[in-house]
Order: sequence, then C-alpha cells, then structure tokens
Amino acid sequence: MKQMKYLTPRLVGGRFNNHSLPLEILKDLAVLEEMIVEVAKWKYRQANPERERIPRGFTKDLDLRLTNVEDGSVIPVIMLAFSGLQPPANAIYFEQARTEIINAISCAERNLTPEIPSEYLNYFDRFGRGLRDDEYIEFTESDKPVRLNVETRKNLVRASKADGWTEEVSLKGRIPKIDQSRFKFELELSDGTKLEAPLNKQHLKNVLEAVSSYENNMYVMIQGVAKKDRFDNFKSFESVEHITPLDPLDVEIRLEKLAELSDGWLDGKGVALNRDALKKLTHNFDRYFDSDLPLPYLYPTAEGGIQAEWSHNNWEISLEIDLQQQTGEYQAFHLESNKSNDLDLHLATVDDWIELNKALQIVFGVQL
Amino acid sequence: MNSTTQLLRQINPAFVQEDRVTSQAFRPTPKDENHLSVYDGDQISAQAAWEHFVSNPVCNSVGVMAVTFDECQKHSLPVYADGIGYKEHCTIDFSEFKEKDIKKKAKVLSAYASARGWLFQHVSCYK
Repeated sequence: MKQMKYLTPRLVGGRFNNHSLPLEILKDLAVLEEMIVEVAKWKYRQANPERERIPRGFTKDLDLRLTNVEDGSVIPVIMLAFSGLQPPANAIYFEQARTEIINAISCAERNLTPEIPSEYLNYFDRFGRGLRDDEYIEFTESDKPVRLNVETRKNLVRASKADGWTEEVSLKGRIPKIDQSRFKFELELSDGTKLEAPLNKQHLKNVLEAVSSYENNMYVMIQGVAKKDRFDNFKSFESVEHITPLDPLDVEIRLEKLAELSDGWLDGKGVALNRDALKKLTHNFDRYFDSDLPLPYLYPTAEGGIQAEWSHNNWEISLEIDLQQQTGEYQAFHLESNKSNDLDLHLATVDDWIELNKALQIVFGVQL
Repeated sequence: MNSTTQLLRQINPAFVQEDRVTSQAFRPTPKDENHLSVYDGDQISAQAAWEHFVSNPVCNSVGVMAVTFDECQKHSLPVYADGIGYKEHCTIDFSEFKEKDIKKKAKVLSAYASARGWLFQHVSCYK
C-alpha cells in the first residue's frame, strides 16, 4: 500500500517528556481515527447533498496508520494509506475532516463555539481523555499551532451539549457496598459522595476484602473512567481498570482527614490546617519521599502544622512541618543510647527531601 | 504521690493514628509555659479522669494513657501536685529544657506510656 503523511500531532509535557508514547494514549488515537472517518463522511454529505447515502466502500481503500514516533516531545506520525497508485477521490474528505477537527480545537481554545456539528464533538469525550493536567496535544496545520489539553477538551465536550463527560481518574475511597447480582459496587469518597462502579470478576477479591474492612477504614485506589455531570461532579464509574488496596498510612487520605479539623480542635486551642498547603505537602510526599521507606504516621500540631513520626528499633523519629514556611525540623532520637540527629529542612527544595530520605535510610537500613 | 503514682494524660482524637499515639501527646506547647497537665492517678481513676475532662465542652479525649512519677524523675522532669483548676491536677515541668530536648523527653515519655497501653479508652480511636 502507498501512503502519505496525514497528521503529526505533537504530544507534550508530563509522560511525553521522556520521548516515549504511553500505550494508553493509543486508545485516544483510535478514537481520533473514528472521529476523522465520521467527519469525513459529513464533509462528503455536505459536498454531495443529492446523495442519500455514503457510497459503499467509502473507507475501503483508505486506512489511517501509525507508522513512526518521532522525538520532540513525542510525535506519532499518522499516514493515510491507500491501495492504488494515487490517493482515491475520497481522500479529499479526509483532508477536510482534519481541518475541521483542528479548527474545532482552535475555537475551543478561544472559547468560541466550534462550527462542526455537536454529534462529532462528542468524540472529544474519549479523544483527549487520557491527557493529564500537565499534558497537551499540539496540532499544526496553518502557522499557529492549536492545543488540545484538559481545558480545551472540556470546552469541546460542553459544546457538544452532552449531559456530562467522562474522565480517566484515580480516586481513593472506601467500598461500603457490593451488589453481586447486578455486578456493581460503590466507592465512597472522603466527602461522602458515593459512585457506583461495574464489578469485574478480576476485581472481586479486592472488592470483597474492602467491603468487609469498611469499618476498619480500609481504603482503595480505583483507576478507571468516571462519568461527570455538566457541573463537573462525579456521578459514577463507566469502567474500572485497577483496584489497589492502600497502605493504612496513605498520606493523601490521612491529610484529607486532618484538613477537616477546625480551629480549637485541641481543647479549644489548635489551629486548623491550611488545605492548599496540605495539598502541596501531599504532592511533595508523593513525588519526593523514597517509596522504599515506610510511610510515616501523621498528626496535626497545635500551631496548624503536621508532625510525621516513625518508630524503628528504639529510634523515635519526628519531622515537625511548618506548612506555611514549608520547613521541617527532623529529629531522630535513640531511646537507649540517647544518640540523636537533628536537621533543619526546607521542604520546598528537592535537595532537602533527598537529605530527609538519606537520614531515614540510615535509620531503617535501606540500601542507598 | 509516690514513685509508682501514675500520671494520667488525656489523648486528643487527632493525636491517634492506627492506634499509635504521637509523642506530642506528652509534650507541652510553648503556650502552656512548658507545663504538661496530668491527673494524679492515686486520686482519680482513668475513667473518672476522662469523664471529668470531657465534661468541659471544648475538651476532647479518646482515652487515657499514663507515665509514672518515677519515669519523670528519671528524666529530670519535676512533677508538682498543684491542684490548679481541680484537686487531682498535677504538672510535669519541662521548663528547664530547650525545645529540642523537650522533644526528646516527650519521645521518652510517649514510649513509656505506649508500652503501658491504654488505661481507659472511649469507643474506637480516630483513624
């Protein structure tokens, strides 16, 4: 088959920075193909109003193929392949479809209503769903590139007048209920919202364990596709890919719980913890704390900070964190020998997280 | 009060995670002038101390742990039976020490109390 270059979207940010294409993005590209074919049919109908039907074999001699992945950050090269020596006449509608789709993204970037009919915009519910907050897909047809990111995708789905949209998510919560007759279970988020989810056989063991340990606060993380309403509220899960039981000391869950404390929590004293600062701490823990080390126990401090603690072989270790200043006072104290190690850390810098990890690795005997 | 007297300490719900109590529960805050309030266990039971404590609407406790008079003495922490506010009130005095040393003393007291376990526990702990 012969082929010609059709589309070279540039995938930028997050997971694409190491110049490789995550397999899950292939799902998005498959949806892009579906959208291109349907928009091409629409363009054909516009150009041929006298025809009631799309000719049989409209796509027979044409095929979209991923032939290469180029650097910078990641550029999948999508070719339009055809069986004859020259592209068939229908290829023009595929060219027009590409232009329409790129124009629609351009409109969404500028908060304008796309010209493409809303039923085709529905494809953006699945195309771009795999993108994370720090990632985008850039398309260039004229001088100015256009970007599909989380925000422009939302604008496009809103413009499709759909009742809601779906998102790939990782959500943490407890499982209060399972209904094996309907193959469903519920995930309860920390704000009390309950989301119904389909129960797959391969997840049954984890779900049953989580249900029986609900009262003991067993949390799980569910990765899958969640449905949201037009107001951005989660409604349910459309599909579930992974269910992972969480460590009882999961940092995010614990800090969410501590965020609920109000002023006066400590016998009339005790300052409430700043939610934004807690989110930043959660992020930094997730990013910089050595995953080979045991997670800390986390407690609020009277001044509105956090104290992380570890106990190991007569070592009592504390890290008192000032959330506003992002500083930490580390102290490891050996109860028998009275040996101690005190460090002042600036937790806004990666270097000091590395220093914290090293100090803990020595106590816990983790291989450096 | 004698060397074996248990000094009863109320434990705030937020100071417990997975049944582990923070060393902060045995550390006075600077606002307390480095004085840690406890009940004299010779004069009141752990449960009665808890009931007395939570009868104050701003006070919250999931239970009672204790260190002994002797354990405090061993670590150079004076204990006064001062009856401030109520007759069973005692103070463990950390004021002679600098902040880093206060944290170490709190870790030691916390380890004693944890090894002893709960003397009284009200329903389940805050997790």
